[in-house]
Amino acid sequence: MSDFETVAATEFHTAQPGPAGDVNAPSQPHSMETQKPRSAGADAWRELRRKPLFWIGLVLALFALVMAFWPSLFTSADPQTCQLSRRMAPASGGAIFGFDVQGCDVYAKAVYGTKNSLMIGGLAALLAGVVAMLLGVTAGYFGRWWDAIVSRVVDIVLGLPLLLAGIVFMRRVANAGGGANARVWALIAILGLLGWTTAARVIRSSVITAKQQDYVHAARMLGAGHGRIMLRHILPNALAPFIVIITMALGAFIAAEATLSFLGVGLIPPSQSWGLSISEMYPYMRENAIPLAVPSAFLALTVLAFIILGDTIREAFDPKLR
Amino acid sequence: MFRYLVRRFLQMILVFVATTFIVFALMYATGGDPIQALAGERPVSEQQRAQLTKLYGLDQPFLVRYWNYLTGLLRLDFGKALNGRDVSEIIASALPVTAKLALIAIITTIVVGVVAGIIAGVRRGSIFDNSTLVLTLIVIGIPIVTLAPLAQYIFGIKLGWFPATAAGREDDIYALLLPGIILGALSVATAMRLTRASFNENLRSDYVRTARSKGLPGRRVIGVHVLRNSLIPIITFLGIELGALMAGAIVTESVFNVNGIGFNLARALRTEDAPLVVGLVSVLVIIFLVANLIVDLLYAVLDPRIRYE
Repeated sequence: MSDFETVAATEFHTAQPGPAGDVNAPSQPHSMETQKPRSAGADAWRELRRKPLFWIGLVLALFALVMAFWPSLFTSADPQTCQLSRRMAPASGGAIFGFDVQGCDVYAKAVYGTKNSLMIGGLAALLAGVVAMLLGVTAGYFGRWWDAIVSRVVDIVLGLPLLLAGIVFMRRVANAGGGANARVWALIAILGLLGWTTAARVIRSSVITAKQQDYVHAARMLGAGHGRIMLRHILPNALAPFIVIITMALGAFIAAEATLSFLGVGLIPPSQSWGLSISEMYPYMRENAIPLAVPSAFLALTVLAFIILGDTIREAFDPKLR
Repeated sequence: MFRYLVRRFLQMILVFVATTFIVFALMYATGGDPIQALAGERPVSEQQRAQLTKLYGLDQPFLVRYWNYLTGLLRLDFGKALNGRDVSEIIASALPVTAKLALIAIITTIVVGVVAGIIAGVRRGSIFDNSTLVLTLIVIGIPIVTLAPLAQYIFGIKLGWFPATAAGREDDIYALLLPGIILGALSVATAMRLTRASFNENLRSDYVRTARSKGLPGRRVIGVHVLRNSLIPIITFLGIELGALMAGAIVTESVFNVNGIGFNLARALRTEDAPLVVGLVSVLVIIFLVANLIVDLLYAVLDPRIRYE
């Protein structure tokens, strides 16, 4: 979070010199800092700090992140060692949620599933973000035929709902006969390449607004090149909505991975994933619902964390909502 | 207006051709043997193979096959599924079921989402407002793969309020009620937030102050003046959501065994039934595009300031 704050604080110059900066300034004693007007980024951070919901989202997301990188901190059991003799056995020792149909430790499986979900969600969001940034900024900045082409491509990709296209593309990958690892990378590529459209549209429209501002004309007059104008003067204006959309996309991609795995076109064993566990345990729901409920709860909490983060950041940056 | 319509129509055709081409190419370039898929486990003799190849037009080049498919669509001929049934026949039997499901979902969205959004928007900052905001956030955060089995378990199996599956009772609205509400639950939250934000913004505008100062009752100001102007973003959302609903129906229909478009699509993907997949996806894309077009045209009706040139 501190990264974003410093980036936002330094980059959000002159963007919105609105009255919000001065109105509620002296609420906290900051001695020197209260004297100078705050930037939009610092203002948003003050707003965010006071929201319990933001901290809940942040803690949940960080928790999931730690679990993804160091699953052995949370469980000493190996999710791959399953014994049929323990089929649907109740909780015992380290296995606090008991065992599933194949006699695997339900809790350990859910803990180890975190890595794939976060990796797929995170890398797909990163890929979608890069594509959206490149196409959105250039389409908005250069306009003309390039804008027309990008806009039509956006239309076409939007014409295929994410889930629908994901199923068809993943089917193709499945038929090509990739292993479990190849599926992970295919999912990242497909979700990333299908999920950039909304972000690109938002960036494009904020670039179009920004490029007509006086300070952009001034920069051009001073001899700044296209690259410098785009990076230093236009991009910072599109940063806040971009971060929000990408955070929310991260949650949506994690959910999409689970959905595709549930429908049988996502990950395959021996990969560990919540969607895969849900898909495997769903038929045995009537017999014992716990092996289904645990990965479902992990999935819902993680997606929720990123949606909450995105939502609270969006509210903090939108002065209209205050 | 006419020029706008023509331009929009040409754009729609471009998007339709591009999306169906992508799906067509992916489904027919799978590398598998469609003739063997058709025969299942049984061996196929050379003679049968040649005959079937000819029947399904597999001997023609790819682009020719795509062209034949497109021209067939104009005559509402979606081709034949691998089990010999006409794809258009399957669509005709599955589409009404999914339409009913989508209708229940949209009604749920409007009744719960829009009404709650109006209340929250008018009473901004109240307990109702704050609690629904947190509640909708939670609903948005729960993916449908979690929500659908959970609802089926609680309401269908444990409490027994609704049938757990709708298999074979697609005409019974009661059996479709639970999957329909689940399908709509995801858009309820977004619709509520959108309505709330839109109401908030419009309540502060000049025309509301004018209406109030003229002495109009609050009911009329909110119910007519604000509502009409707040509907614009909500209608956009509902139009776009209709396409997403059709795709979301894949999970809901699979969980509740509803024999609609999504259920058939999931099954066709499992059985590698390329003609059926392409046909169903084409229908979904057409619905999505037409819904978007209608939304754009409704703008002009709702907001007289918008005029299409």
